[in-house]
Amino acid sequence: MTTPPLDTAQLHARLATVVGADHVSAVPSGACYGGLLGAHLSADLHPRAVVRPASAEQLQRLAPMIAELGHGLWSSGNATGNGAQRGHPRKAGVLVDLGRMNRIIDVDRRGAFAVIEAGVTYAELAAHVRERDLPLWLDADTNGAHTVAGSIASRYTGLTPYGDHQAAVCGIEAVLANGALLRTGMGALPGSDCGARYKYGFGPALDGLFSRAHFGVVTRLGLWLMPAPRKFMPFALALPDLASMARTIDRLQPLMLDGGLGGHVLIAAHSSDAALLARLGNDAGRSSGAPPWTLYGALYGVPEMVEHHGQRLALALDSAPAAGQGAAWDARLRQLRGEALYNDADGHDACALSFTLLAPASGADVQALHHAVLTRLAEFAPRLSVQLARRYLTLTVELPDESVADGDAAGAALAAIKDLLGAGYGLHSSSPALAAELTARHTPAGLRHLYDGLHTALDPYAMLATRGKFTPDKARRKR
Amino acid sequence: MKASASPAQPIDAANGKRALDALRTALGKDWVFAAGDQALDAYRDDYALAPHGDTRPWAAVAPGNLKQIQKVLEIARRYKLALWPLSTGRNLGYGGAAARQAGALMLDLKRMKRIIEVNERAAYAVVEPGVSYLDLAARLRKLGGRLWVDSTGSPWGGPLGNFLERGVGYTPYGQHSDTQCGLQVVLADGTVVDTASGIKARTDNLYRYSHGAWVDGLFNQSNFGIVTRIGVQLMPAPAGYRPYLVTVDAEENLQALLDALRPLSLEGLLPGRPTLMTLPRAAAYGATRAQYQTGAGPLRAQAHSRLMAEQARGYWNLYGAFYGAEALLDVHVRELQNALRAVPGARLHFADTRADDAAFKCRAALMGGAPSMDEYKTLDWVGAGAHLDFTAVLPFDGDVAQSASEAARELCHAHGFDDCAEFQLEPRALRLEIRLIFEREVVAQQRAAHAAVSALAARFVSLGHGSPRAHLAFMDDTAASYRWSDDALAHASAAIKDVLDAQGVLAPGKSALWPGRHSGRRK
Ligand SMILES: Cc1cc2nc3c(=O)[nH]c(=O)nc-3n(C[C@H](O)[C@H](O)[C@H](O)COP(=O)(O)OP(=O)(O)OC[C@H]3O[C@@H](n4cnc5c(N)ncnc54)[C@H](O)[C@@H]3O)c2cc1C
Repeated sequence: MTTPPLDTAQLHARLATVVGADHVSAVPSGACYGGLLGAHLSADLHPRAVVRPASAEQLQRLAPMIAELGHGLWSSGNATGNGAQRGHPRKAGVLVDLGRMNRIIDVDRRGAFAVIEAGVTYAELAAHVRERDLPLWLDADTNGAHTVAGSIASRYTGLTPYGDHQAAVCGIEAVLANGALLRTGMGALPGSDCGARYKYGFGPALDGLFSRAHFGVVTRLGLWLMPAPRKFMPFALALPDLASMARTIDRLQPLMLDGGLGGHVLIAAHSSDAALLARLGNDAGRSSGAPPWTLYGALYGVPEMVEHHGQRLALALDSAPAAGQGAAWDARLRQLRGEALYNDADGHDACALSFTLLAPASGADVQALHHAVLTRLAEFAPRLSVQLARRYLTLTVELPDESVADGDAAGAALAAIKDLLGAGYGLHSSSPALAAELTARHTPAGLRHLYDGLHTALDPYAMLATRGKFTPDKARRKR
Repeated sequence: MKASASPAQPIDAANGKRALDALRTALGKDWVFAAGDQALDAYRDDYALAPHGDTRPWAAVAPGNLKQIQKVLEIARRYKLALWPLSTGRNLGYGGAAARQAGALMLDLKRMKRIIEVNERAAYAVVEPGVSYLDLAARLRKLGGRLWVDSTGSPWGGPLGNFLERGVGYTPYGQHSDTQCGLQVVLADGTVVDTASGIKARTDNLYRYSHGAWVDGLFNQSNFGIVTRIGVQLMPAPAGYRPYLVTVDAEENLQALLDALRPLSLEGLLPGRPTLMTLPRAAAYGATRAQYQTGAGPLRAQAHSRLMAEQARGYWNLYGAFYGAEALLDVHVRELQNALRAVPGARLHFADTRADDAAFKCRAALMGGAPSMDEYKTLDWVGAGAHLDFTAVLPFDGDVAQSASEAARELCHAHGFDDCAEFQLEPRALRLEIRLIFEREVVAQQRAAHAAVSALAARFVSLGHGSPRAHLAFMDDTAASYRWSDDALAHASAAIKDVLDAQGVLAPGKSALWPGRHSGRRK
């Protein structure tokens, strides 16, 4: 790593010319930014400054300054670090924390959408909706201190019909490395009031570059919200073993596919429910006798339609969908309503080692995934949960921090992932401690070549992310 | 048959000959079409607009596979040729099978027409560029009809070309940019990119995003690559299906109608892409204007009244459909009926009373997953017709729509056209598609249509209503309207173009993406 000529005080002073001295500091001790600055990153690789712009305009001035100073630009919505992006790994870094950019610009009741700045958290947006008594539901992360923009950047998914957070985005505003401020979709048309109502403008859509990648810093976005459903029918089902879980997935799959079940279905392992309860300060989850898996879902909509789908569900599950009970149910119920479950502002709740795999929505596949994960990771007591979507399922694996302390958990996780990718499964997302390595190992040549080209185009000073040199035709010749 | 037009010449004769020789060696001489070859005539805009000028190609090639595309790219780079990819080449109303400029080497992918996969369990298909909606529908029918295709009103076009134009259909899978899943793309340098996971996982066509950046949207309405494969999600055939028509007589009740429908639309109770047509637009499916009025100029009130009486329709005609089991269909109908109580003169019709309604038949087919070519009949409204569309996106708001519709009508009439518009309903927005139907071979009418779209664009853009799609002739102007913050979006796209296609061989000018714009190196 080349050390830039400026000492830290000088660096801070330069950044302060844009944001004021109050909004520049060293990384607060103990700050982990949701695992961005976790144990996997030695302290000498941490950013040299945290800078907190108040506006997109300030960020437009900061970005070229950081480039000119030879630093990499890291970014995070706030201290929770959800969706945070690392800057160029071989440069000293400046971390842009957008926590002050937390204006809720508009929540449109009639159009059921919000326009918010990148630092707005789910808790803030929920409070806004609640105070105005708007008939709108959110689909929040479990941690209400997470920013909405960060959730999208990390491709988090929730359980309501608006649970695909990426799909609920409508229009992005971002600052690029050169300081340009762009808007995507209809928002790029001066005077348009459809920026958050219609996703597409004219020409190529750049929106997808601003999630799970670092091509710029999102400053604002449009978000579709769900009109409060007239009827909400949540249900839970205990599943005594893996085989019955697999069977249930097969029987639910047609209902998922035709949209009969509007949202995502969660199947949580007992350990996953227990960890959530512990997080909520409740150790009821540890009680014995709980089933190994519990399925949670809900129907949303017009009462007769909900009842109709409820009957189909009863046929598929061999029992009428019914509410659950106990503390885990209470928590999952709130999740099914799109509510956040707790507020953890410093991001220490984020599990350092976690990853989510993709599979076809079939029972055989979930069994195969389960088997492969346990083969490699049983010793780390992984907490598992499955989400069923319309056409696929995901398996999320979290390795509890306690068990990771000894043994090469990251190595074992990477090995498990390698096995499963080799078996034809896909990778959905992963925690920062794994993401860089997984991207390096598993991005195929063609896609990597395209990413390199895009970075060359949009990040000419190489401040945002590492990239290979874009030599036309290189990927092809390598094949 | 007409003698073939002489092609435009982008390079000198000696290099031209060398390039053609190289192409023939690469593809076989049967798949290279040059001067003197009648096949070259196909690469034009059948709905040409005189003011747009010359778009004659230099030559055309029809590769049969990926390797051959890579070879063509190599040759194009070597000789600095402009390659214009076409899939099914039916982009009628937006430039047809023509390139943006004369002198292009047309890259016709019609021969690549394999349906690579139909996955019935997860309800998707993977197809090549040459596969049309008709082809895909035929395959699905053969498999037992458990899956529906979402076709446009132009089903000899196909899922791949239509997605790239950001086209739309009319079932609940009608926003084609939302139902695409997985692409294979060849970049200008020949690199093959598989989006989605990119690792050839079994989930590549199940999950739309990858582990990293989601790049698929970059290839929409652009020239960043040649797309050679697409995954499209298909709708499982529903347990039941009930198309409907809502008519409202008075033009000024548009606002009341849309405001009554808005909450339903947001709640997902108006599934698909209901289309709300003006009287002339709907009437044109089953009549010609000559039956109602002779001479030029827009239809007069008297003709309107006759049309409404004879076709039993209103000035506003909303074609939509409900999906699902009978019990669900009944709930849908009740909800719609309740909403329509607030709309003066609104009437709800079903198939039983619309046997004579040609529009109903066509729309019911499209909304029911069955491709229909019947929309082409609407072009006979003026004889041997063609059309040019101007589309604007508006908020789903009755008041805004009412004024937009009045502005559209005024401008159409001022240019001598009937008010052939339709609103397509999305949950939060309306797409207002204003159709200028003109006599294909009459240059004065081509000019009038061109002038009308210019005027419509100027008016709508000034009102903040952007246009999401454009004919070749209007791409530069349309792109220029998205100029917020010093053209930031255009600059970013231009920067990408210059890196990914440094020599500018791919579709120069597509969506106003001209090579060398970012680096300042202009042609
Ligand atoms: C009566 C009528 C009704 C219509 N109804 C509809 C409708 O309901 N919805 C709708 O969306 N449209 C409609 N259209 C317009 C048009 O016919 C369709 O959009 C059609 O699908 C587009 O043509 P295509 O699919 O053959 O694409 P193509 O003509 O093959 O391609 C369109 C453009 O995309 C680019 N392109 C194509 N293939 C590639 C490739 N492989 N790689 C890179 N770039 C490529 C090129 O720029 C090309 O010019 C209608 C037209 C008419 C005349």
